[in-house]
Amino acid sequence: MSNLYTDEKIAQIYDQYVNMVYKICLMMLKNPGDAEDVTQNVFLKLIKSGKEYESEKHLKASLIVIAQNECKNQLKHWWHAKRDSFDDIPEPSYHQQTADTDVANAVKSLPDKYKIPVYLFYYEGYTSEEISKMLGINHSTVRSHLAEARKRLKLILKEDNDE
Amino acid sequence: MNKQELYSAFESLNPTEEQKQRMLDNIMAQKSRCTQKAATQIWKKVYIPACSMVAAALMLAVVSGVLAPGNVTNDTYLTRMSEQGATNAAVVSQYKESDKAATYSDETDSIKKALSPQDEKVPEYNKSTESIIAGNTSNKNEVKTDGSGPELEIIPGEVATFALNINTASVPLRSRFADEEKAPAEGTGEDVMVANDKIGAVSAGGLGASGSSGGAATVTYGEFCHNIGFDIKTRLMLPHDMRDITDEQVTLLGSDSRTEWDLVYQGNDNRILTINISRDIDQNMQYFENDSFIKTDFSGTHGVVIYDGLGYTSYINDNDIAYVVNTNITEAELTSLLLSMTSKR
Repeated sequence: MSNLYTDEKIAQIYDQYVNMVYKICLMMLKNPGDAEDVTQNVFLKLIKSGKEYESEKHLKASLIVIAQNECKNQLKHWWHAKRDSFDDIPEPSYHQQTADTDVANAVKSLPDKYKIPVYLFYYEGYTSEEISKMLGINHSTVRSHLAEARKRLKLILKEDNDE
Repeated sequence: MNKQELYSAFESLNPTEEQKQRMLDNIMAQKSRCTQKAATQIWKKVYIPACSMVAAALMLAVVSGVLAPGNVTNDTYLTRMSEQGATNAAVVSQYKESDKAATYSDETDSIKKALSPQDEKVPEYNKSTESIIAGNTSNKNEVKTDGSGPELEIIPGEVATFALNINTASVPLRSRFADEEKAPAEGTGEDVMVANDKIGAVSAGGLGASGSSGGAATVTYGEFCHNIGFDIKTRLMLPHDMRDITDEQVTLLGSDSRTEWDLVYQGNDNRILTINISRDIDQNMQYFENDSFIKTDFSGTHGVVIYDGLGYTSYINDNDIAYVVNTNITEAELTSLLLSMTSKR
């Protein structure tokens, strides 16, 4: 285990980025329990890497990418495929229900490929070019994902309002 | 819907203070556990290589039937559970109640036990992950596929054991890599041994022992790698997530790096398909000759459906493309292919 990440350093990085990492995980995994597990994995991965980052910006970008990849790993795992969804469980588990807004639910219902770009663009304030570099996808693809996500969100929210 | 609404929506997804504290506590606990483990590395480097040779010899002896696997091992439990048609939950429950659960507080002792198949050993039950920590292995031929088993966590220095995947008639083996670039083990074999932080395959007639076979991968305590499956029908290691393999009995060989997947399939008629999937943006359908084609479906996490009498679906990410090369190769060529796939990483 690297000496670079002392307990104090870990706590500082954690405080700074846990909200961001957790949100990414919750959006992709859709339940707080899994989001907590993967959030922990993300920080543990960082700690065990022992890597020193050039800047806060690089550290933040790395955490975003690690979070996304860890979520994808989780979704691909056979264990995940074989178990029941929390939505099917009648009794609430120990997981705390989040007080999600309509818009938040709409975001969570987007296809995975749109969620992270939408989050990074509208919440974290990254440009589409920065998002493209971070996630390793074409700039034009990012823009089309954002455009499509906006369209879908409007549609979803309009449907909700009409109901 | 405006930007402010979106911003507020994301704000509402923040974890609670209780969640944050819980996650931090778990992270610190795991960090502390890994630090403890790291402190014994020097000792392990001396002890393990010597013991691993003994263990390898013993396991070969077990596999070849010289030593009867009569001890109570993790696999014996799994076998018994699967014969009874027990569910995964039942198996886990059984372990929880077992009064023979070993603890791993003494690392020296646990390593000694792991390397000595004669010891009666029941793995520790990890309450937080509801997983069984690996214990001794024995004759893998006893592993059944008509039941289900728990997910197992491998500890370096321990002889790895398996969970059962009833869908694919295979036994997925999971361990975590410190470095994601390291390839999982490949090769043929009946046992998988973790020693000196390496995973290898010990074979009674396949490619060979750890280091000389399709490869070894570094495992660090507490890390998980991609799934490695052991197909008891073909006795091939399947270092991949084996969901969705159909009744066509495709044997999936290959590895899964995060940037490029190389998959080799052997169909019922022994035709070999090599599939190379790279992360690139191309949402077009890809057609190839030799009676095979790939349909790409980028609706979320599902990806390639390969049609050539195989009907296999592979989970790849959006924006990946895949192409198939259909060819016939001999067993020797396949072996060579596996070795070369490992050495690429």
